[in-house]
Amino acid sequence: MIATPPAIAVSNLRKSFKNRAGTVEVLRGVSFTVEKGETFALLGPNGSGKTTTLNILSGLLSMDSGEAYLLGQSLGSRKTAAMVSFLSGDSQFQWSYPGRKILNFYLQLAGKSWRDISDLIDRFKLEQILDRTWEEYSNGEKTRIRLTRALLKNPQLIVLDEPTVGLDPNFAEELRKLLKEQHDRGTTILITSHYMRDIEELASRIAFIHNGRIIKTGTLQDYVVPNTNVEVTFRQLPEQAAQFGAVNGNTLVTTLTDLARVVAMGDVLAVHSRDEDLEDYFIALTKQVEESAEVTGA
Amino acid sequence: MLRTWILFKRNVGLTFQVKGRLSELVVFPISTLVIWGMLFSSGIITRELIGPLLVINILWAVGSHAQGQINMPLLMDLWAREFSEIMREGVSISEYLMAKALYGLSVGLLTLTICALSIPLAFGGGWLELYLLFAPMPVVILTATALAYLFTGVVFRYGRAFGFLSWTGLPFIIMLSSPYTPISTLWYPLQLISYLSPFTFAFEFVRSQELRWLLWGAIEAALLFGVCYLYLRFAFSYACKNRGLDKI
Repeated sequence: MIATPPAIAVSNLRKSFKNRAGTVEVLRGVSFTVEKGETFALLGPNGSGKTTTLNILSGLLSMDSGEAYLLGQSLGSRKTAAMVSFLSGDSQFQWSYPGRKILNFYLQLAGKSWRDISDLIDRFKLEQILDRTWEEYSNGEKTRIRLTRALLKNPQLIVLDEPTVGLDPNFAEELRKLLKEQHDRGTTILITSHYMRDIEELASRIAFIHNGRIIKTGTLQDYVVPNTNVEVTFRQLPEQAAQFGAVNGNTLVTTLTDLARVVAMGDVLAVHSRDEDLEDYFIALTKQVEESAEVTGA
Repeated sequence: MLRTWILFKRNVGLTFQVKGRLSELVVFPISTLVIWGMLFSSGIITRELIGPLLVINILWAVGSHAQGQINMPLLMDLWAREFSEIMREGVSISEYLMAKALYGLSVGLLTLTICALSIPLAFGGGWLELYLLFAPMPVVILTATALAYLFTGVVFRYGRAFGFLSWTGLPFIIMLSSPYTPISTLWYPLQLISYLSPFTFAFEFVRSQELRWLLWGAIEAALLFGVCYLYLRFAFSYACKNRGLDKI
């Protein structure tokens, strides 16, 4: 039996940029593999290297060293472009061009016709807005056009960079639904997002990237631990509260271990047990990595 | 080739999308013709003197349009941030620039046609002026394309802030190409600088009608085109390596 190549194979990817202050190493040996049909999330704080990784995969940026293949093909080739769609939450088009002409251009590049995307037109209710120009669209309408453009070539792999940024909750939900459908059809998805809900609902595997390195890869279950956290609501949030976890208004999410000390800090209104979710994990892991970097001076 | 044609059609579509932009194609040649053509036809200055000046101004207009219509759509793609979207579709930089060059050539030829028809019809020019207009055209358009590639390369290398070259670069080089006086009358160091521009040879041809100027101009324009294209490829690779095409 011939083994099929993974949808994405990235090995020891390195990238640095020179600026006036010197050389900044943005990727320090990133490696990961995404199997066909998987939905894989790349999570990390701002500046961790997510977008740089995606830009390298899309052929907009060259790597310093390492190897990367999409669907077994080298990056930036025409064959790859025919099978892969990249969608960024802030993709822009010519402001004076109407949606119909924008889509027509990308349809022609993909060798497709309007008939091929009639279901997408219906689904996103585009017919009514196609003759308006890009600058006249609302954020939601722009996203509908972006999505149609990304899906029009019926890609085997979709790479999404912050796809729900700027969307209202209803449309973000619609987008997640659509991506789940694509996943069910066997499309491989690589996604980055700062909205943990996107990741929790969509991703079958999640990799954490920090300071240009993948520091953990696992399934959602590896990150979410039931009943490990508590939510403590204060009448007035004590100053030291932030040392013990994530703060939201007068509420602190902390661990069971720290509960006794936290409760002693101020006037507590309520205490609830809470699952540790991806967001808690994200904050805790980022903090932990930054603290260890400070200790080692890295 | 199909992708180049699709990109070319998009350029045309973008120009015609805003009807007012069509005026870009005619305002400069028509104002050139009106100002210089009136002098030509009025007889205030002798025909022998004003004829070459009229032709040189038209060559300037054609070169300027050919170069501008390569650079401006590129800048519009950068400003609109669609350039990176197009590159993500597997379009090569050669295909992209070829489409722009074809578009620049088309606009240049359209400008030339407007002017060439206007000279005999409106200002009483003859075959001589038309000959002086058409013969140096390959040198002018090739040089304009080379300069457009050079300016594109500078934008790739140093960022979109250098887009100003699109509208200031070519007039500056034309002014260094001895448009209105024979090159022999220039200060010697300036002559050496002028010889670096193929436009100089085209303008000398218009004044002297000696074909050797065109031959030298064609050789230099071809060399310049090769150098500018290589620079553009270098600048594109530099941008891919150091900046990322989404951040030009």
